[in-house]
Amino acid sequence: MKVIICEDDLEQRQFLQNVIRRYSSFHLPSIEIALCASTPEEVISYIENHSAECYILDIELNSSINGLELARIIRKQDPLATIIFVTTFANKLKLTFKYKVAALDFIIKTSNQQLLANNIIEALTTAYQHYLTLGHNSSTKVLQIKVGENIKNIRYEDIYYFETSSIPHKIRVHSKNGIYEFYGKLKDLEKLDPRFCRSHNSYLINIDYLHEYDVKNKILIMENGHECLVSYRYAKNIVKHLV
Amino acid sequence: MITLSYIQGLKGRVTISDLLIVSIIEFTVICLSIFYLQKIKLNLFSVSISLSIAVISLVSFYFLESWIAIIILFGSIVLALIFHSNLFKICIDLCLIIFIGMISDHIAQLVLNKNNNVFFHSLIFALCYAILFIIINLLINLYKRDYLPINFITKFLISILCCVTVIVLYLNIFIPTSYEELQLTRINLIIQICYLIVMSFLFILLIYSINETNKLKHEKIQKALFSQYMSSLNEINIEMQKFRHDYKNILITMERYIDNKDLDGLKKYFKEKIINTEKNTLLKNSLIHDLGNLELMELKGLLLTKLLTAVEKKIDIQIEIPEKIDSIYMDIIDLSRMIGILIDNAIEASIECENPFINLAIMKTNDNSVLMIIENNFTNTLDIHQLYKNHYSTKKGNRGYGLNNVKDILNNYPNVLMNTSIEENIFIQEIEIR
Repeated sequence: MKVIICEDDLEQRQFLQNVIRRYSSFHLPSIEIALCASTPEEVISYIENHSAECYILDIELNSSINGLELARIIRKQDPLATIIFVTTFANKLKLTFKYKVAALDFIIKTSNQQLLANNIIEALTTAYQHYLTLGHNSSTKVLQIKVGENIKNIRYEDIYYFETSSIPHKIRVHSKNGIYEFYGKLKDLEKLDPRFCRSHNSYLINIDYLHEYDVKNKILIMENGHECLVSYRYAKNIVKHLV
Repeated sequence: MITLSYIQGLKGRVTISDLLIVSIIEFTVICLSIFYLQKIKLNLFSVSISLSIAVISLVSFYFLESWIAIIILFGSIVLALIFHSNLFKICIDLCLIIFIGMISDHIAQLVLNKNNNVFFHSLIFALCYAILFIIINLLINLYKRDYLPINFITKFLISILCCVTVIVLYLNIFIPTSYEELQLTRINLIIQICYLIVMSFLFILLIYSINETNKLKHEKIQKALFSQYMSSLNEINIEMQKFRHDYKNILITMERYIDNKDLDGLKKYFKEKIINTEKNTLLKNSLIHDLGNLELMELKGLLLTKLLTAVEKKIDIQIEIPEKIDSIYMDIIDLSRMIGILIDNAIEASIECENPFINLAIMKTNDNSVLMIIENNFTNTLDIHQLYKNHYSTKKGNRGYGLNNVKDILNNYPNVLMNTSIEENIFIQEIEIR
């Protein structure tokens, strides 16, 4: 995993570099620092010809471009890269960075060097795991929902069911972590995985989470207690899966 | 009078005794209906008035033209009732009675099929009338619960609608006796076209009036939101002024500590008296600054008031509005209602935590939609799947108030997506408005 650092303060830059070098040589040798830049322009000209997987950027760059804009330029080039921000101000625009440039983590600069180093390493290992999953993302199947630039990965095994709303093409997915809405068609979602099973014109259920089939009332009770409808047309489909 | 079509069918073979039977049944029916609908008590006064109206109209029916008698009858009924009830209700009730009466009359004629026995006809007529009247009244009572206050113009229009309908109904009965077939069709066509025009005109007026009322209501709410904003601003302003006033005293006290070189005393004073008491004022003041990029005054006012109460409740508030937000493609009242509910929920959920916080962000995404994020912490084991079920709320008593209302609002907006999730023990609401 190639790492690019952009930090305008020399001392801070060297500190970051040292922490990452030391950590990678002892624990994760596949992490290497590709560039250690002091200005955003350096990073921009570098990524024109090269690529990297992880960016550690200072937000308050003393330059015409700040960290947010730099991250946006990087995102345009490489939508999958991991971006970690380093900032002096706690909580400053945390959500903005998360949703605008899909920043992975925030490291707050503290005077406590040990804590800072730990935080950097922690972020770096998360980034590395992220990097690994990118290599073989076929192992866990996920439904991706984009909120701003932030991509939510909802694992198929966490999905209870999909339902259509009264508004055409708006679909609501009920998963373990929450309820998400997006535009799509149940017909297309049906093809994603054999565990997704149509029970009604407006319902697509995950058959693994079917708790009970109330034949009399034509209702499916899911493990989370929600009720999905069954239509005559699709009843056979459900029964086939149950046997 | 409402069995006019039957009497005309007899074509002059009306004897006085026939007429008497029909009229007695008819007047009893009309009187009873009116007494019931208008909630008039049966006493000597009311009965004698109805009897005199009956006699007058019967006499005029026998000696004058029938249409004059009809006008006399309904005119006198309206006159008699106008002191008791309002014109709107009278119109509706009379229209209802005439409608049911005519339908029953026609049914009776069909059932008897040219058997012109007056007694049977009246019997079947009364029976039909009673059944229809009871059914319709049951239906009306059933839906009366959702009765909304109607404004004057709408009432007026509905009354005219009733009158026009009654006139057209009568015209339809009158004409067949006096013209030939081709002429009849022509006249019918004219009546229908006129009716259509009058109806469309009235409908347009009705819709216009409803729209106007809605607009007025809209403006009222908008104004209320705006004045809320102004009063919040005022509150903050007053607090800032108080702070400025205290500021002098604080400096003087601090100077005294410094002069005495009492550093510990100064420290204690600073921490206890200044930080604690003035923190809220400064926090509140910073709220205005944080909301600065939000240019929708109504929403700004709402957020300011809600968040001010949150600050009072010692909830840590973070607001991020990184760029100017001047338009959101949603009705501002729906938007405010929705955000109001969500913030209320966030305050209620977070307040039970040790370090309650609410993070709020409004931003534009790269494809120019507006994204709103509300995050808060919570303590009680909140089941996210129960939240979206009907009538669920973690509060006892006030059940099912929040999220389902939001859901109902959003059902009108194809351009809005909402996600509700829990990540790392933080409750997150994301709303994307395209």
